Amino acid sequence: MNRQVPKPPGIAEALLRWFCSEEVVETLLGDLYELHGKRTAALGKWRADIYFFMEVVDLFRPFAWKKKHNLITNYRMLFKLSLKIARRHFLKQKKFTLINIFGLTLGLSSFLLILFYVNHELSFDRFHVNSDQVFRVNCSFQDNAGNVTTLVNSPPALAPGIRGRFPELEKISRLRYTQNCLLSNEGVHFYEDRGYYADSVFLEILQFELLSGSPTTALVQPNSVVITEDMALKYFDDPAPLGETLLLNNTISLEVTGILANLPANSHLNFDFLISFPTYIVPEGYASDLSSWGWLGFLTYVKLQPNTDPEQFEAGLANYFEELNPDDPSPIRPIVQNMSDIYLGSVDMTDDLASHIRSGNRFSMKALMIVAILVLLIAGFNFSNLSQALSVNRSKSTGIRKVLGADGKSIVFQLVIESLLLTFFSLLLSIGFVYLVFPFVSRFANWEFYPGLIEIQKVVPVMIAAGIFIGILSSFYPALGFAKMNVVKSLKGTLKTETRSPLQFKNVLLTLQFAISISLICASLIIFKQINYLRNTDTGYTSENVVVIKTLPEDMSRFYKLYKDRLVQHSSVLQVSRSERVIGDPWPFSVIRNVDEGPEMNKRIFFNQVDYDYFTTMGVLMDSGRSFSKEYMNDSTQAIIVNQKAVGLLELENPIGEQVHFFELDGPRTIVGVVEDFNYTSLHQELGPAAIILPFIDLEYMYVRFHPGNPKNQIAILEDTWQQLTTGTPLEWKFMDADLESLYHSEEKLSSMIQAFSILAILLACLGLYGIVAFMVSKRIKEVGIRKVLGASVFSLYSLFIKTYIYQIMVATVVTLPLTHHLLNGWLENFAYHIRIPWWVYPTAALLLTLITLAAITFQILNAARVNPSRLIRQE
Amino acid sequence: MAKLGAFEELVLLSVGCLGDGAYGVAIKELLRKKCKRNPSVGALHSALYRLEDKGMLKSWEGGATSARGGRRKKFYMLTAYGIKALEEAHQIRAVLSKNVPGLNLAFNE
Repeated sequence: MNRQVPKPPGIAEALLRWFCSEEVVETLLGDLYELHGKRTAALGKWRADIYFFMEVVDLFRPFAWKKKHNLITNYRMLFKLSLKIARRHFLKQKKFTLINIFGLTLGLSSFLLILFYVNHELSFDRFHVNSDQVFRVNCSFQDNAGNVTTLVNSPPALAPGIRGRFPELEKISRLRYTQNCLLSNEGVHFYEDRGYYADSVFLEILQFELLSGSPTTALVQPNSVVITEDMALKYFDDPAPLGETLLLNNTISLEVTGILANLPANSHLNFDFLISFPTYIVPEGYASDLSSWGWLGFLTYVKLQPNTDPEQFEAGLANYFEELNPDDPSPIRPIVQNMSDIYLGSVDMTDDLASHIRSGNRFSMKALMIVAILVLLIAGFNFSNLSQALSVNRSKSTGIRKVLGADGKSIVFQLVIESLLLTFFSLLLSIGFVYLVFPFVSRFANWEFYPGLIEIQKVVPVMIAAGIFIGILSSFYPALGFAKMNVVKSLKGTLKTETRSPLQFKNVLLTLQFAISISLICASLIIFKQINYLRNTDTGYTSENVVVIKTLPEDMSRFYKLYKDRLVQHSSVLQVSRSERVIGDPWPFSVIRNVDEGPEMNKRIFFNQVDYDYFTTMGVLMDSGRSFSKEYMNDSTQAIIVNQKAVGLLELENPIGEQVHFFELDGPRTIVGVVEDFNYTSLHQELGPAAIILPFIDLEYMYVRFHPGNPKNQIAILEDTWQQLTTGTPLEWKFMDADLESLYHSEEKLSSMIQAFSILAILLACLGLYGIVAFMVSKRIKEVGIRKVLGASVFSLYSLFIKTYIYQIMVATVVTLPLTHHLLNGWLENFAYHIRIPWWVYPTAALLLTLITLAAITFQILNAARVNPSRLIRQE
Repeated sequence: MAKLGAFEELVLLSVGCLGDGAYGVAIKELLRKKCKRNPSVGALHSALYRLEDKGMLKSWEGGATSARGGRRKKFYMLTAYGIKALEEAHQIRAVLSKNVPGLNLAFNE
């Protein structure tokens, strides 16, 4: 026989080794090699190789397969053992178990709360039947300077105009905001401002639940009204007052033709009643009527045929708008927006009527979600760090388990089981906790919803997934450490956990926790500063001691002059005026151009209609020229006052006396005065050019400026004087400064939420650190004793322990700085007027965190450092 | 007594014939020469493992040769139980064969 052994094909051998168990593979290969040698001699190398290969394939038989486990294991027993070990471990390490449960419960609770909130935000308007077929038509408008304004509103002629013109259009309906109106039923009367005039098909497009009445007929007849159940109880003390009569503004009687179930909290439309559209009469003095294609004062909802491409419909609509007015250089462009996108997707749009449309902010939602995840991660890191630190104490038992035949997998399994047990126990606790605190949190954060069964069903799977994720994530790394542990060393007790490497996993996690904490502190500081800035910025008007009064426009036109005359006789009343829009609400816009230019030079300008003495009442200063005055007869139709921005817009050097075309109304108007730029909306928007004219319609809002004094007396004066004039119509008033507070409500909400979570995150991080330091001190207690004997002072011992954490905080600050800076700048850019992030925020945050950290660990270290060293060293 | 397949019986007999030299390749060659069988390595070893499981064979590891790439041979020998099984199988055949008319049971080497 050839002594030179011919080599069989390696790939076949590899294949055999892959599927074949180690016990049999050597015997089989031996036989195969021997046969291969003989076959090579007899048949030649090539055929021998083929035989070899076929034999290998033929060996794919059960007896040769790799066995999954060498040992016959009883899984149920093993699992029970795991549970038993876990329980013993938890009971033995009570302090650390409590820290873990506490941290995980807080983390999971905040995650759950935010999940409910996010679920609510995302659920908006999805309860409607066929909500994917329902759209709102918004209108966007661009002036020749390129300024784009998008309104959620549309013109009144749109709905009747395109009905039947587009095959994909199934139904279309308008809404007109009722604004403030007075409803009454036999002595029960209230001001109501949450209502719309609606076309008859409205309830067929948006199928709000009707308790009684028919969605197809309820809004057909003029003078019909559909009210919510709450309102039915409020006026009639009867949940189904079908056929009863409500009196609108003391003049028009409305028949109740339908009762709506109270609207769900996740509807962007928020109304109490709907009046049939034919009841609507355009108020006297308005420049437009219901056939207008330019009056953006309505809401239009359409229902399209199933499977229609909304973009195609939008393009068709845009064409139609252009055809209607081919000469208009700055046409209105319709934008079709799906129902499910309205709530979160309308941040950049304004409602020209300032009706009660709910609008959300995707940014806040995401910010809160991220913060909640960070808090959860911190709790997970705590578990990870503590289990790793505790692994030293368990090294002996782990060693013995290994000697007795536990493989790496079952050691990992043990820790993962412990972690999952803790996580799910905490999950149960957190569900109970959330159930308890939800009412408080929702009041604090101004949430309008309460999670029902459906919401809970949606959230529970996510929570379970989060629990599994955080449970496995936080136990996996320490478990691997356990599995890799050297058996001999762990049994001898010479295993060291403290390696000097700064990149140790535990240190990385601690640094990450510090980084998250610092980011959150920075975010809280900046958001707080920004809100303060918004509140304290010089707005150009004075809101203190001003009362805003809201009455019916009809009452206002009837009684205003008399009321004003009587009020100013009081010594405490400084000035009285009125306007169409209050400060803080979006102002409507129109177009303006110099008198010698053509319509193609129209520029966008915001405007307000006000009465005499407006600027003195509001404390707005004149830059030049004069205010409106009764001495000039033509002021009401021919005068206009603009702000400084508008002067820039019109490129005028000496604005006083210049003539402009405004609103395409009447003839040209003369600029009689220029006011300083005052902030008439919120500081989210950049202050735009504004024009102010005397009113051509009835105004709704009245302002009374008092001398500083007792608010109660001030209100008494207003009420008494009003009652002397009228017969029982109520007066609605509010203090302007208090009202303006609500402008930045959503920011304050976000701010307080983020602050709460920051505190929570820092608390959790400190808790984890407390645990680790407690452990470190106990492990190094002998070292402390020896150092003391050798003359170390308490302070030097102290610094020995804390210096790692100080370094880590410094590293964390540097690491987190760019990202935090970027994110915060992104948020600030939401505001036209915002602070610059001052440099000292970051060091302050780091310092703050250092102090909190030291506070958490100092006590334990000093306790250990002050003990008599002889006691420490004797301890064995 | 556990069931014994025809091929298993042949393998048992071969192991018995080979005495101290009964390992995979040797058994395979014997089966080829004397029994006109050419089992694959897989078929043979699967039978060997099965018989070992049944307790009819026992095995030990032998010396390595270079022809086997330095691997040890796995030798087999019959257990008492294995011998009993063979006897029983033979008994059954003998009884049945005797009752078959015209069957020539003459034995020639």
